[in-house]
Amino acid sequence: MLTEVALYLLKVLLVPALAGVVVGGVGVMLVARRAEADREQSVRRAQIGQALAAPIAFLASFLMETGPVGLPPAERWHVLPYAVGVAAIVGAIVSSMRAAWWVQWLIVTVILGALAWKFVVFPASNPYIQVGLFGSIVLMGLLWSAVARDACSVGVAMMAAIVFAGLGVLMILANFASLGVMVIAVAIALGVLGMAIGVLNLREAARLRAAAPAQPVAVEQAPGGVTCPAEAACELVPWTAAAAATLAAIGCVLALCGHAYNYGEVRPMHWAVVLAAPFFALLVCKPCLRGAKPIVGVAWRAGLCLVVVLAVVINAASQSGSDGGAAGGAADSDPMADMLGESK
Amino acid sequence: MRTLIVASSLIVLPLLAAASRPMWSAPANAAAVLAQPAAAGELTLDPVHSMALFRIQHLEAGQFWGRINALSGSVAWPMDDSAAPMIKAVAELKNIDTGSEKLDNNLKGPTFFNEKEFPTIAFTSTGGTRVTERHWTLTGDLSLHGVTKPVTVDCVVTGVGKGPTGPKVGFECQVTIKRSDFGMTWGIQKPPKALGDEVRLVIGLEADETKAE
Repeated sequence: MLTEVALYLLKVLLVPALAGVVVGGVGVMLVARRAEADREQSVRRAQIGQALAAPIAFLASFLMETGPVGLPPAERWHVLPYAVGVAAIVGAIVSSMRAAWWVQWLIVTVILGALAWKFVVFPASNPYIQVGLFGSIVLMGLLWSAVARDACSVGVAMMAAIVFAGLGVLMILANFASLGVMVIAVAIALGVLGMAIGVLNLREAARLRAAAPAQPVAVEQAPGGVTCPAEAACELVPWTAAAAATLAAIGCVLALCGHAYNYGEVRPMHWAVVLAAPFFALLVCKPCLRGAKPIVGVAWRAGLCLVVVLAVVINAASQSGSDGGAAGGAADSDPMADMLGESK
Repeated sequence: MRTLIVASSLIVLPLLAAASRPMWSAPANAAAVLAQPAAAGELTLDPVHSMALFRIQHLEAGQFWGRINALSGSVAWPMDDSAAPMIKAVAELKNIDTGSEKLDNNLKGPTFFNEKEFPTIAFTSTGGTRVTERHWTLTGDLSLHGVTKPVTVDCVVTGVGKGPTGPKVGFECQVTIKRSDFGMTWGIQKPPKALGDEVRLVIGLEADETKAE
């Protein structure tokens, strides 16, 4: 039984995460192998890969967990693979455009927001909730785009991984474990992708130092906390605003889905604060908004994001725990863990 | 050219979204049966004394039992047992009761019953064949998780007594279904063998005449 559960977790968590990492990471590896002069086209392709990494992980996990779904889907939450698929296509197309970050943000969020407003309708929805979904996609997209413009690619991937991990835990607390597992697969994909990009960036920095040892260069502190000859050179493939806005839009839709099917003690504020956690990264880096150099590195920003998400998750878990305890004793063991044979 | 594409995307896509029809229609609500008053000669189910028990194998080991309280609906049955009982029974999933509030919430969630979209389980008999005296095999439609399928239910009249409003009739019905037939697949293969596919339902019904309001 334990072997079967381990294989199941491998299928729904690690294989989809690996698919996302491959899609997002191969492009960055190819960029690292190219000479600096030939990089422009491959950077653009790698940015498309980064935009697709999280959606691919989600879609793979959904397929493994739930199987293919029809159209129209039999259950409302089965619209998610379609919504995420459309988001991936829009995010990838807009990522490939040579447009200012605010144009990318606007295109992605208006298109995805409008489609979500019309087609992503969960139980107990009403026109206000649908307008709210549109508004939250636009606002969260702006926030995440601003973060992507300011922070290094490692930081964006790490913060996104933390946010999606937080959403996944909230979904499990809301008694929606199957979606929680899928979202955690996305978080794993983003986390591993971030680490891989970090390693490649470090190697790039080392290569640049080794290549030009005689020339005095301006040593600056890169956004990732890496000291390298020139900040831009360390960053092989920066996230596009479109990719970050796509992640934000997917996060908003998943959070609303978790809220709509909530059978736990997770409050709307919990979802909102977790989604907005990267905002705190901007708070500690206000000058970046004006285009100045970052004053804190990836560890500080991701760390702050992690603290916020952890605080929210602990708060939500403590509310669930206190209510469960009041309801009654030993009978209230974790049913999902119990079904998986982990608690007994 | 690029600006043109961007601008047209901004205008056309939201318009397309707004012009198209909503993807969703309201879920079939079997609770509508409840709204219909019992016809002449029909008895109304007493929700206090009508419940459904469900049994499912857990981790290939024990048989786990849960219940859904307060069934509602109606029964039409001639007391002389000359015809099969015609049963309309509705279980509201908000009344699920396993003895664990957490497990109740888990079962109501989208991983299992998806109570927010499919709030009821309904059975409507369409005919029956006699097995022995006061023992019938009923055929009918079972609506569960948004899927309606024909089922065959073994039904025994457990007794006819007297209640404050007139005669009171009791039934005990049993049926075994495959939940995968109704789109409820969690735990059968994914994760493997966490829960069985077969679910045995034992339904206890008590029906009497409804008081005139």
